[in-house]
Amino acid sequence: MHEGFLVYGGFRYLKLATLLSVVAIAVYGWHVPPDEPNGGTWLGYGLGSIGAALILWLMWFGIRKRRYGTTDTLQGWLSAHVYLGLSLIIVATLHTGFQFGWNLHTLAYSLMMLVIASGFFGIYAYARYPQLMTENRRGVTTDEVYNEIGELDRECRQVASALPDAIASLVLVSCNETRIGGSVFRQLSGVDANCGTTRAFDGIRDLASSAEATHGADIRKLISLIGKKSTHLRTMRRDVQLKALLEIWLYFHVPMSFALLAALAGHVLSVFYYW
Amino acid sequence: MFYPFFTIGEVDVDLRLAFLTRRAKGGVSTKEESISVESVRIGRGTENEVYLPDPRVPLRMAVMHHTATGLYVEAAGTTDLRLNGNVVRNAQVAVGDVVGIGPYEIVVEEPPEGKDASISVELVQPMGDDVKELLARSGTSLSAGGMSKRLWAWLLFLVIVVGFVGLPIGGQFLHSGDTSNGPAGMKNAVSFDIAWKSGEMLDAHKFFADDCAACHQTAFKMTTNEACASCHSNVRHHADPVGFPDEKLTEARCASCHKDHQGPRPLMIENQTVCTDCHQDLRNDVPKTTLVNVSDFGTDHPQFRPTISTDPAKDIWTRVSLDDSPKELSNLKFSHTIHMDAKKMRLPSGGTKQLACASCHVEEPGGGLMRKIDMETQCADCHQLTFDPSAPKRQVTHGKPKVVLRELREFYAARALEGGVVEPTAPAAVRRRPGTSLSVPERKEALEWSRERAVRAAAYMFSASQCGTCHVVVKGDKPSDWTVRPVRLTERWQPKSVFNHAKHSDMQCADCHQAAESKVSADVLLPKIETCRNCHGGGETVSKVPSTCTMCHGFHTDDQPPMVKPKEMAQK
Repeated sequence: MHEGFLVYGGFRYLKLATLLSVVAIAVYGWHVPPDEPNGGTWLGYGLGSIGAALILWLMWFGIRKRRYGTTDTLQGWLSAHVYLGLSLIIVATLHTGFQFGWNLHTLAYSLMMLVIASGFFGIYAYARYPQLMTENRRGVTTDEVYNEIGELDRECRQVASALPDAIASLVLVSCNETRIGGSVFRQLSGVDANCGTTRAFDGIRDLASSAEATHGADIRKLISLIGKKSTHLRTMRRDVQLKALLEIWLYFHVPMSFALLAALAGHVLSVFYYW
Repeated sequence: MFYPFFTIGEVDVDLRLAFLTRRAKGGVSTKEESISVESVRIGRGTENEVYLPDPRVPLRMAVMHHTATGLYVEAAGTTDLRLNGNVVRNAQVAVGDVVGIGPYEIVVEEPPEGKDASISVELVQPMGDDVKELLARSGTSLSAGGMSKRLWAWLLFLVIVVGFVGLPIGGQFLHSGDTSNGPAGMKNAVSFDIAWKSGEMLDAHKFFADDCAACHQTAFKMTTNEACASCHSNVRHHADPVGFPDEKLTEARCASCHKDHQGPRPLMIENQTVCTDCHQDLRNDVPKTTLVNVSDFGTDHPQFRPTISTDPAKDIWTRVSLDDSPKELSNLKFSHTIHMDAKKMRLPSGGTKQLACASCHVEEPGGGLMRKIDMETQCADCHQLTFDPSAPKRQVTHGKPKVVLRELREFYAARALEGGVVEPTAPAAVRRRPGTSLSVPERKEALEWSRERAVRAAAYMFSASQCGTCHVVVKGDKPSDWTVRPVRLTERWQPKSVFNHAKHSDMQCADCHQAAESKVSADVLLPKIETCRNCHGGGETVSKVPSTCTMCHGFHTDDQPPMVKPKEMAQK
């Protein structure tokens, strides 16, 4: 179960994150700042320190998940990463005292919120796409599908060896110009408007009407084979699409995290540089 | 061999045909055959002599003939041939030539004994592994699609480090020569460190808002009072730093109460805890203080204690609580009750006048204080300082009791000198026809009359019916010693707080000041704190006007030394 991290340990980290958020809100409500609420009061410094420590710890997950052989489970880490990461929304927002501006400080906050938002999509992706991927492949592995496609190509060429050049060249188009995925956009779209197999299928079907009668059986077999290949291609393109959706947020989440790390360091530095 | 389709009228050629297959581990296997035909057909079709079973080859690709000069090859369909790499339609070929036909190469070789020609055929571009090629063409992962987490992470990290840390800090070293002088040395150039500006600055500070170093003079050190004092040099201590050397006061940072970057609103922290942290238990912490503990205007603030004259002779002023029925001893007699009663306000010119508060009490511009009461403009309409019914318009000067007797002497001396006085008791010399001269004895007589008359008038003036109406008159042995006790009117009842009448202009005077019932000037007509509390509550109130300490009180005290010593400022 890919969303097992959500229920890990009887919602241990959800409870911890909720406790942290509730305490932060309660202290914020109780605290009477000498001036407007802002990051410069003792509570502001406190919330800021907790937030910064959380961010560093959350980013440590990127290192932790590459380490093997530790006693704690990665699922537990992910659970903590998700729930404590979400609690940052409360902690960091209260740290700002709702003071925002066109400056490095609000940049750091915005980057943090973008990282959290992308992480939120990640939670959705992990809860939804693995299941869709399994349903899409109907229990067959990707290697099996690829081998099936290769086998179909070989059969097509065999059938086409006795067929006219126009049809044989279309079979070559199907064999040599078909691709799955490609650019990021094409992977995410899950379709290929210029699919070699589709072009071959349409072309051969058009040529079939004017073909010699003796070729009829071979052409029908060819059309059947290429149609079968198209079905496999649809499955694989959907597979690639789902895999891309499952991963794409990380290509946002991780670079934004490092941008946040830089902005956070600059934020802390600047605050004390101009104390 | 017999080839019915291509041998009519032609000469057969004996051809050695070798099909080469390269093995994966090196070496070549050769499958040879000999044919005798007039022309050699090459193509994918099984009827061809040179059968090339690859879908990339047309059914009929080329034909090779044997001529007197050797082998001749020509394309049979629309697909061109390659001769030694050059595209051709047909060509005469010699030993060693390589003819490219689709993925195949045909090499013309030296014919063995008994043969006319020899060619070898090899598939040089095999179809390859379909799956491998499909995957090579495809992009099935985002990294294959050109995405890179690492690249973008580094890129964004560096952009932010350079743009928001490197440039702001580096920019200061470029300006480092200008930053130590505070606003005086400011430049208008915008520096990169504005990206660090945590909030909008106070309007009054915006003229140097782009020069962070005007206030933030040293990196990693809090802003100093000296930075503030480079402009605000006259700001005073809260309490005597020698008598009350509390570090909370002597070491107080301007910025602990005055925080900028909070928008254009005033820079002062108005939260009452700033004051009550000390003042709620001041008597315990500072036993010698005369101040009363206070923690909240609405619930825990002492009764007002105006500073009033309690011993006018010694000019002693005392703070007296309004709860203790204070008596202001000002040496002035005055009844608000009478003055507010129109029936009693008979004008010298006849008729009566209803006075209002504002007839006498006029705000200073800005409403901070009331103008001083001025006898000449506010009392003299009724209280005329006349002394002689025969000269009803002549008055003595107010406010200078020492000159009154002299003025009277001069007045009556002039009368005596002029003559024509109509008083029946006056001597003849004084009553003589004006213009006639005086003899020596008459002069003496006239002078004596004038002096006696001046003393009589002075006695009248210093009586209860004139000066004594309002003043405490002191009569010494000689008329020249007669005087009036100085009036000690209060200008600021509560000098440690401010009250603005202008902000209360929608109220009636009598809402706070019970003047109509006041019969004597000793009454202190200030409202008690309970009156204020009808509308004003403490800082935390939700049902009244929230009123923190700084609404009425200032922190900096005018009669204390400057918070930043002149010596420290001189070093700047």
